[in-house]
Amino acid sequence: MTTRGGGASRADTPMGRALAGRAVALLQARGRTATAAAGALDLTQPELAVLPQPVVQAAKDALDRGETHYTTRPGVVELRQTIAERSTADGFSATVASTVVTNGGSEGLYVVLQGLLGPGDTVLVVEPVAPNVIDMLTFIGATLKRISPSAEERFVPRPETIVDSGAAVLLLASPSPITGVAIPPEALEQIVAAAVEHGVTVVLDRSSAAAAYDPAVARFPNPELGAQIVTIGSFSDAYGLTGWRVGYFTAPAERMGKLGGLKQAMSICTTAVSQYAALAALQEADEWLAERRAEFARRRDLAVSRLEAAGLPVVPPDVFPALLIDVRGLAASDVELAERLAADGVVVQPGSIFGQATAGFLRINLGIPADDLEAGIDRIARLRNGVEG
Amino acid sequence: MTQTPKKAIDIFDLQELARSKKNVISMGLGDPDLDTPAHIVAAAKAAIEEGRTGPAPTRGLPELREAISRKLARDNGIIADPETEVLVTTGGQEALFLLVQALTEPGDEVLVPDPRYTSYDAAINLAGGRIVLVPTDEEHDFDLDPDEVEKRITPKTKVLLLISPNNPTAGIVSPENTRRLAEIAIEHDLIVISDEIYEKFLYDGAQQISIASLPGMRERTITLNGVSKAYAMTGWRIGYLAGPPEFIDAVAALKEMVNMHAPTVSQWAAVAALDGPQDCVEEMRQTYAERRRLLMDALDEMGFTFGTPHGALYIWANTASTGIEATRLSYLFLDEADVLIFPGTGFGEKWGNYMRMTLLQPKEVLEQAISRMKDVLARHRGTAG
Ligand SMILES: Cc1ncc(COP(=O)(O)O)c(C=O)c1O
Repeated sequence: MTTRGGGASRADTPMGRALAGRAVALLQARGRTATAAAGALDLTQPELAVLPQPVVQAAKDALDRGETHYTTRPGVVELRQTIAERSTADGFSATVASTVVTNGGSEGLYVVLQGLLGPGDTVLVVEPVAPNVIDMLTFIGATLKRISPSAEERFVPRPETIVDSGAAVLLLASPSPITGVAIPPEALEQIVAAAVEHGVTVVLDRSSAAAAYDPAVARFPNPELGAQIVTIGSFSDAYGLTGWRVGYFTAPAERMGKLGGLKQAMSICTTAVSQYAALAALQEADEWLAERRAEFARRRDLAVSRLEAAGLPVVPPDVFPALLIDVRGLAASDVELAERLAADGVVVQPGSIFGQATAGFLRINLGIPADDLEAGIDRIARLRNGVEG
Repeated sequence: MTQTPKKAIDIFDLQELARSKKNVISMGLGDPDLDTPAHIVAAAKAAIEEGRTGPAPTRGLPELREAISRKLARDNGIIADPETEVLVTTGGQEALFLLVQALTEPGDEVLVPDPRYTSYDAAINLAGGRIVLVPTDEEHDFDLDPDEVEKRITPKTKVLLLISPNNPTAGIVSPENTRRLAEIAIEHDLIVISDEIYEKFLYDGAQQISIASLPGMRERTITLNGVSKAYAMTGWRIGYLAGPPEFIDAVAALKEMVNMHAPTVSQWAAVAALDGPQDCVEEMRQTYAERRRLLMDALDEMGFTFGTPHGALYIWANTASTGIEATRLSYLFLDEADVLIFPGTGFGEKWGNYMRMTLLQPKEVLEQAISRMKDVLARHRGTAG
């Protein structure tokens, strides 16, 4: 019998001895995520969106039609076509052939990073960055160089940081799902131009693009340059399809052989019914999305005014659902404040878990139930009284 | 007459060519033509209607892990704690990809029976492992000979891969050989990956056993399975792994890293598949068994030979008697007869005289494919060698 709960150490079992070192390291790194206590006011987990009716219908119709088989490996052609059109319209030129549908944006990101990087290759990572992504890069064996732009610069990295970095890949997100902030299109163009000039492949996480309050922030002004960027997309946050696991990547033609092969090796294809749900989201949910944006804008305005009234500035977000609260003026670190709130039954994310750039900030998700949001914000607002002076 | 293409044709080229044609009969991909049984589809639709579509735990819905645990006990004699010893994945493919990444260090040797499902190659190569091929042959119905395995064990050997029933050979590892392989694994402290994704499709009374159920094997075996083949559910992407907790912990960390969890709606469908009535599986098996008989007879007439296909959804046919190399024959079948069949080289370099034919078309369609293939052979036999 296997001993549970840390009885026998790993090295005592055949399987424990067999595990690859990097898998053990990953497992240890994973130990860090604390889970919310039962009954806590969790300001990090969004409530489930009521899906757009056309999406629900399309998913059921697909099942009725018998769309229960492997799809073509890179994904349903009509979905790839629609994604490519949207991408191209946003300034990131793509075609059916350069678009691959993935089981969630994170699978897309993993495939891309695993395909572009090998052990020892340098990757420039623009903070803030999710621990998950750091795990991927560590697992791949890449050498990480972090860039930590400040909140004052609205997290925009400077093009100079790319020059002479020796990096194979520049990884950044805009709009960022962590800060909710988009790099202004012209600034992004300069960064990409610097990277391309120095032979650095740009991987741009656009998984929050459809969640922009104003879609213009997620556009790219230079289609020629845009065609050279590897982009990652997702249907999770914007369309509330997280549980369906559907996302995509686009990449220049010369990359497709390798990346497409890796995706096939990894999971053959993406879940058929999820692909049809995603297609309906793109084709028939514009109105639903507009309402969702408006609802998030209301929540954002409410949260911002209450927090600011309590003397806590925020980083105005360009996309839902993230909101960063600036607690650098308080006499405690973000980690300590998050712990204090947790002890008080309120769960938030300390910005430090995403790197130096967001240290001194607390992150909440505006997609939690409205009542909880108000109650939670009131509790956060009280921090000021508790820790000041 | 058609020109022979210059470069060697591979499976990818054939699929491209097939896409450019109309009315192709596909005996290529391992994708069951049968529909997912209605009660399973109904369960998915209910989940969608009731809004049970949100994120799931990384290891899988508790309901699904419990259903898997019951299934393993019922069908395979494997005891697996649903909380700590089961992981749901996005298809068996992801399961094999992740488990290979979790186990393999650069230089580790993995014993892989040949010919083979080459997705394992891709995963092993990526991890820097070394593939050590163990030959299987037609004469022994592609059973895995424990002596051939033992001969190849070195101090670097870490893993033995078993795929039974096998893709592409349709062979199985006999219970007797499975027992001997278990002894060898214990003696040499090997980990065994047992890919049982075709287990439901055994023919003419063939039997196999799950190696994890043998004494001393549970602690060193990872059992891989999924609903793709058994329930005609390839598009849903649900697979699973069962193994010791310390291993499942590690693969779960990898799973969370690459894509959080398997799709939720599909997981509810899989619960219905595993917990629901199983007659649908037996009906499908009988359907495949009839097609298999039909194809075996036709291949006899065409002069192809093969090991007894004891299981799976394929016949691994030896084309040597035609005098036409199999890659070329695949091309001719597609180009002249609109029949897509993968050549053996897609399953290992040295299998240029074999083709993998699937049983995944209705009988009438298979009959048509057979007659078209016979025409091609009549035209080319002896002339195009
Ligand atoms: C031997 C074997 N294992 C695993 C798989 C993966 O199947 P899936 O990802 O659909 O579960 C296949 C698919 O053909 C296979 O043949």
